[in-house]
This record gives sequence, structure tokens and C-alpha cells, in this order.
Amino acid sequence: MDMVDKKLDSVNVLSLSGRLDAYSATEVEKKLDSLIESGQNRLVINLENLEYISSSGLRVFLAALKKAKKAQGDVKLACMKPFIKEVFDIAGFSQLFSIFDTQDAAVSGFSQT
Amino acid sequence: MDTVPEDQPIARISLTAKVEFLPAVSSFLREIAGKLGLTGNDLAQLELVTEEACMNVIEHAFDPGEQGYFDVAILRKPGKIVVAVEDRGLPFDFRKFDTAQESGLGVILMKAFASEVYFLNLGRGGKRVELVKNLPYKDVDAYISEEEKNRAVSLPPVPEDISITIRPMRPKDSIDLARCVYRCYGYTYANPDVYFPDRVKELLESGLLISFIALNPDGEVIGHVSVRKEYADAPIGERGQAVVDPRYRGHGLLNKLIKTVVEHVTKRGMYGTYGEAVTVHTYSQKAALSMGAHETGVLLAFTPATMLFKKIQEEREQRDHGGERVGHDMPEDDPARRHAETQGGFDERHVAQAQELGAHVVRDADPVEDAVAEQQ
Repeated sequence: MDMVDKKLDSVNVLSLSGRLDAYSATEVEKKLDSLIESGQNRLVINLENLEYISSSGLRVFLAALKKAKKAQGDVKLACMKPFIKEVFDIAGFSQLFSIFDTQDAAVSGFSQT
Repeated sequence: MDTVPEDQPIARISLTAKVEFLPAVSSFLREIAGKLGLTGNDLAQLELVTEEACMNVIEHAFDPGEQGYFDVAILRKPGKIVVAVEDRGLPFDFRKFDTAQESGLGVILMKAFASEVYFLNLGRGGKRVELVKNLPYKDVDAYISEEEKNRAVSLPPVPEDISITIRPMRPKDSIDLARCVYRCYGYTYANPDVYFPDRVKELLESGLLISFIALNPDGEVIGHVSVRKEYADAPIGERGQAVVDPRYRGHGLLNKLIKTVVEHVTKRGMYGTYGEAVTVHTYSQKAALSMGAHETGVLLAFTPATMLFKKIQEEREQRDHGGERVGHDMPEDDPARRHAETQGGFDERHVAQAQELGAHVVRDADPVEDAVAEQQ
């Protein structure tokens, strides 16, 4: 699992590459926690290069969403591959998150709120 | 792989029940399942359901501090890959997973992405979760031209004196059977297996399917009936996949096919067969009754309302599905049946019929017990 984060305007964009399974979920959870705890609670997660996700990965995203919202922020998701979208749909998570086709659209989503 | 046995173990690994070994399970699965023909989205789905089953073991099967182990086994069955996750940790009541409220996210994903899921308690043998994924065989569309699709249903009936041959189906006949089913039903046939010739081929080779086909003088498959068994030595089997080309209806072909297949399996030592006929499919009901079958149950609201049978009931929506052992259905003009169809359920008016079905079940049980007694 590779993670790269960068700041675009007032939004933090975290790009994930590889597999988000039960093993790598801990690492991603720590990263998201550290971002939110440092006040960077307006987050876009770019999933363009994420190949795989399991329920452990979904739970990490959900926990981050709850923490970000509690801190008056949000987590928006961008660029899901079809398999990742299918997992979100089956789990009912597509209704919980704002999901965008492009990273730019997700970042812009913050300026509209 | 030329033939597929009923149940072929391919590979097995044992691991310490710790999350850090999960990537090893995924690599193992990708390598083996990929070699067995699973790719792309299907493979990713099987990886996911396997991870969920493994995580259930890692998180719940052992007490904190206990050194636990589990196995992941991969089996090849006709038309499918089976991943079995086994442990000998704490017992668990899998019935909790029967309801959505008690199922966690992992179980919901397992049920959605696996073709079949089985949660098994093996007593002293521990627990076993079987995750089945159907292999992505080409369906009948790949074998039928547009021209053939268009001409199939418009052909006129064939005279009754034409010579018809009935013989056991061979694996290489599976594509011709798929064409026949398509001609008869389009894509509305209830059992999807018939649309995948390679899956039917493997079922025949493994002994899980015994089929007879009818052929016209040109060697074209125009009818089919099979007996499907749970395992190769099963003493009873489900009679089904009854198909007759619309051009050959009125030839008594279905009766002949059923009689042939039942005689065949009886000679091979099977105790008997049972069948399920959809209530609007009167041909298969009459055929079963004519060979001495009788009704033993009714299953309502089983088959989708969108299912139609070409040339039989084009205009009428499917309401319910008569599931019976060795037989069939309430009469077409029965007021109770009409009530069940329009109101969607049984009431006190159906008590007598329910009692009659129950009597059939009791009557059916005797010959089986007799046959078992004879063997002892």
C-alpha cells in the first residue's frame, strides 16, 4: 500500500495505491487519524490506483468520515475503479460518502459547502 | 484439464491465525484460482470473500493470547472453484448469519460476491466456510448466430410421424443442448447452467448429471431431460431441465424422455427421482403425472414474475412455482389455485390440499425405506 498526500487549497488529498486489505488497513487508518488530528479534516481520498478493498478498508474510511465530520470537516472520495465502486455499493457505503469521478470535482466539492 | 472429477482438491495451506499472514493467503489464492481460469473482477471478488472468511477466523475463532491456526483449501468442482476456510477454534452458531441484522459487513459481502456460501459446523472437526465461485464459461450467446436466433421461434410444427432418436447425452452435445434451450426459452429458462455448455459438459463428465436427448433425422437436438445428483453416488436425483423444441410439441416427446431417463437411473440402482414443475408449465406437470408421480408440495413466489415459456404461456405472468417430489401440481381450473395465484398465499380453503400433499409424502417414504431394508 502506497500513500501520498498533498495540499490543494485548503483540502488535503491522500492518494492510495495498491491493496487496502485487513493488513494494510491499520497503516491507512494511522495516516488518516494523523491528518484529522492535526486539523486537516477536509480530506479527499483519491482511489485511482487502488486495486482492491475489503470490509476492513471500508471501516477505515467510515471511521475517518465520522472523525472528520465531528471536527466540522468531511471525507470525499474520487476516481474509484469499478470493483471498488461495486464493493461500496454492495456494502451500502456509496450512500454515506460523497463520491466524485475526478479529484478536481471532489476538491471543488468543498468550496461549495 | 480434460475431465473434472466430482471434487478435486487442488491446494491447501495452513497459517497462524494472524492478520500479517493474510497477504500470503491472497497471493496463494490469486496464483491457484488464476491457473484454474478465474480472472479480473471474478478473481477480485473471490479474494475479497476469502479475506472476509479468514478475518472471521483471525478475529473470533480463538481466545486472546491463544496460538490458533487455520487452513485455506482450494478445490475444483464441475463448473466452479471452491475455497474452504477451516479452523478448529471456538464453536460458533452460524445460524446467526441467516438474518441481515446479525450479519456483519464481511458476511454481507461474502453472500453478495460468492456464487454460493456454506457455513458448516463439523463437530470435532471444527468449522468450515465454503466459498464457491462459478467459472466464467461462455454462455450460449457465443455459439448462436443472430440469424439462428431470429429464425428459431418462427419455424412451423413438424409432422408427428417423423423419426426421432432418444439417446444418452454426451459431453460434446452440450452446445447443441444450449441451442435447443435457447430456441425453446430464449434466456428465460430457470436453471442457468444450461446456457453454459462447458459447465454442462463438466457436470456430465463428473457423473453429477445424467441426461437424455432427443434428436431429429438431421441430428439436431430437439428435446432433453436430465437427473441432477448432489454427489455422484447419490441414491436419488432431481429430474429436470425438461425441454422440447416448440416444433415438436404434441409428439409425446417429453413423456418418452422422462420415461427413458427414469428407467435408466433405476437400472443403475437409484431409488428414484423427484421433480419441480412451474405451475404454468402444464406440459411438464402432465408428463410427470402420466408416469405415476404425485404432488408432495407447493412453493409459492419462487420463480420471478418475469419468467415466461415460449409457446406455452406468453401472455400470462408467472405467479408461483410448484415444487414437488415426483410430481405435480394443482389442476389448472382449481379455485384454490386461482386464489393462491391472485392473493399470493394459502388460507383455510387449502387445508384439504395440504393434507393430500402430506399423504403423498408419507406414501412416498415407504418404497425408499423398503429399498434400504432390502440392501441391508
